[in-house]
Amino acid sequence: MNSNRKADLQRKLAMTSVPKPPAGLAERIKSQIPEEVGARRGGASLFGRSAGGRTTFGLGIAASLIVLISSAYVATRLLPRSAEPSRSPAAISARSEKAAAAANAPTSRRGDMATLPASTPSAAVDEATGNAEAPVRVVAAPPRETTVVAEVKDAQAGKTTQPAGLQVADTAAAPALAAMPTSHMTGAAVAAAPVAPAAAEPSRAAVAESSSNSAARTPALLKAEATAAARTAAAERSAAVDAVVGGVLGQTPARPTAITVSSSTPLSVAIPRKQFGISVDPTAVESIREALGRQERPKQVDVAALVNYFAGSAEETPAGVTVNLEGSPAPVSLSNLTRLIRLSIDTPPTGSGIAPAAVAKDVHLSIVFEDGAVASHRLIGGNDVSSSSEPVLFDNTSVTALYEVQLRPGLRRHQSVANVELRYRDPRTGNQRKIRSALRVSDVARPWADTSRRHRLACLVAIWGETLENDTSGAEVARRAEELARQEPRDSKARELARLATASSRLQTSAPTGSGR
Amino acid sequence: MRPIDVAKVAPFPAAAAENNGTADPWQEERRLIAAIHGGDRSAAEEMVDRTYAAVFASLCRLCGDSDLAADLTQETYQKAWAALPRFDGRSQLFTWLYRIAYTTFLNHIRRPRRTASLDEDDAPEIRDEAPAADDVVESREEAERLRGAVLELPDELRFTVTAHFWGGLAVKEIAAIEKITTVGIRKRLHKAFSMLEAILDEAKQ
Repeated sequence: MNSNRKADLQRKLAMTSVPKPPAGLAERIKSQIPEEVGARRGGASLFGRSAGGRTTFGLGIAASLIVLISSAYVATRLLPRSAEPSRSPAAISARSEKAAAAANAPTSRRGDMATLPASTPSAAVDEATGNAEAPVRVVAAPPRETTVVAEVKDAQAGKTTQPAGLQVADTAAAPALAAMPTSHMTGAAVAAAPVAPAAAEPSRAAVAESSSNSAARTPALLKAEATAAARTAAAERSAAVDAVVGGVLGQTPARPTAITVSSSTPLSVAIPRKQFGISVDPTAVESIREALGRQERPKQVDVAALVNYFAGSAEETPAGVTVNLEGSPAPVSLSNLTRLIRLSIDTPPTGSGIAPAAVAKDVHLSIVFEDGAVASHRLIGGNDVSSSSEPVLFDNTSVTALYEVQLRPGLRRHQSVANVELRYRDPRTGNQRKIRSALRVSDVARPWADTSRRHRLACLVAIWGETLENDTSGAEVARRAEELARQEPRDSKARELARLATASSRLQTSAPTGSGR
Repeated sequence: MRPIDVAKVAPFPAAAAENNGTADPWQEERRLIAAIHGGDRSAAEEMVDRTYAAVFASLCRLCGDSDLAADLTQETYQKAWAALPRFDGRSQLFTWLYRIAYTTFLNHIRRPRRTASLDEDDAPEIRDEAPAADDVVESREEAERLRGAVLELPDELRFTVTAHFWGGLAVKEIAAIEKITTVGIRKRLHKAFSMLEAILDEAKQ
């Protein structure tokens, strides 16, 4: 090879030019930076090794340590309560005052665990009113956050308050509750959970009745007594708890739930209806089951709640707070520019056992659809929520929103379609964290069949729910859901959707009994 | 859109330090790596700002398609985040990234095509408005022929040529990656030129 030719080749190779990186590439890369970027693995560091030297032995040691710490926590926080000696009158009085203060506390603020007293006032009040403290056993606890409160009516002011955290599990219930790793029982989330009116009214009446017998007493004592009465009644009716909680939650998805305790009614379940403005009402699917069981069209179809129920939680347990964004064309023929975009927020289990652990506070979610790529968009089954906040996110929570998006024609593959940002404060460190995720045109061009099971189920149920009134897609949804169920026989959600869609497709199209929403 | 050369869009710490005459070109990079290992997200973002254009440019030269290069750049960083805890800082950050990018590119051209067809009825119309990569070489065809010839080289020669000319790595850096002497790298380059000439001549006939 002569030197001229070599120099020519070198010149051509060296001068090969490249276009400028596409706009937004850096932002897309940054949006994929993991939350724990660069963090070396804890299991390996136990032995002072580099992160590359991971060993299963190290993980085993780490797991053992976690179990040990959890056991120590349970032992130190719960066992001393059950072994606590009888209380002195002074202590009783002091705790009664504390209980009254708690009952007087405003409850419009949504659950911040730090603002609530850690101990329950009910134990002291029990003695003051001569009621023995009886353990409350909640067996059929829901699989995720379950919160138990006593709802007390102020006899004089006539207003209903929610005293902080009635910890029903603080005595003999501890072992039983410890065996339920995902049940949570504090008042922290209760304030955040709207109480179902039908469930709340009997409660208030019952407490008012109990209070009217003690009209000469101070309001503080009245409240404290009512709390005690509620607690005792709850203890006596643990079977009712089983029935109510099991009956409702046994067939509903895992969602933060508040159990309202009153003095004359069995425990009733109040369920948070929305998170981030998205309906997560787990009773929605139950009402549809019942309606289809009666061979009637459902009176109300809460499509967003259905999407949440069937989308469920992440297929893999998240390591931290995660934002999962996925898009695809619709599984049934819609416009060729229509895309379904799923946004799911998942929080990890913390393994704290009894109490719901806040994994994020001051949470702010925003989703921005790019005008240049998106002609229109809507949140399926609800009002569009482009920006929403939650004061706290507990562990083991999943929220899913499904958007129907109309793309503009003539888009480039790398054009941005949607950008999501989730900001929150880490309750452990107090640090602000930010998770960003983005979808491009190429991301939403994937065939529906290539997407995750979670996305496919969410899309199917959204289409089914939206057309349930006149049933134009029941058979098609049923067929596709059955395909999904065949692929994964353990997927009970796909089987259930197939069953419900088949049932709806068999209904007479002239028999709607209500309007959807 | 005016094409710009990789050196102009990616002021690496080492290069910048040389230009500025600062003492330790590695110091800034070490600080960045240490901050990322400490979980500093802003440091990771700074790393992206410093390097993504160069990674994109390298991949663009390797694959000849700016859209694909952008995809591969994202994939490169995804792999980099996963591998970052194992990065010991013994090589330059970009050298390490280039190696990941090159492997990502090789995986791409070797993997079976399973991507969604954008020609489906329900896919939006896609129009590539990116400028052609032929502003400097005599023609786009010639650039493509050269790129094709480079990709036909044996693995070790291909990596050496692309890392040196398209990734901007010094001979010494490539020698460190390949664990051979700089003389060995120069021999490879010489051999690669001979083979490229033969491939290009064959293509002309």
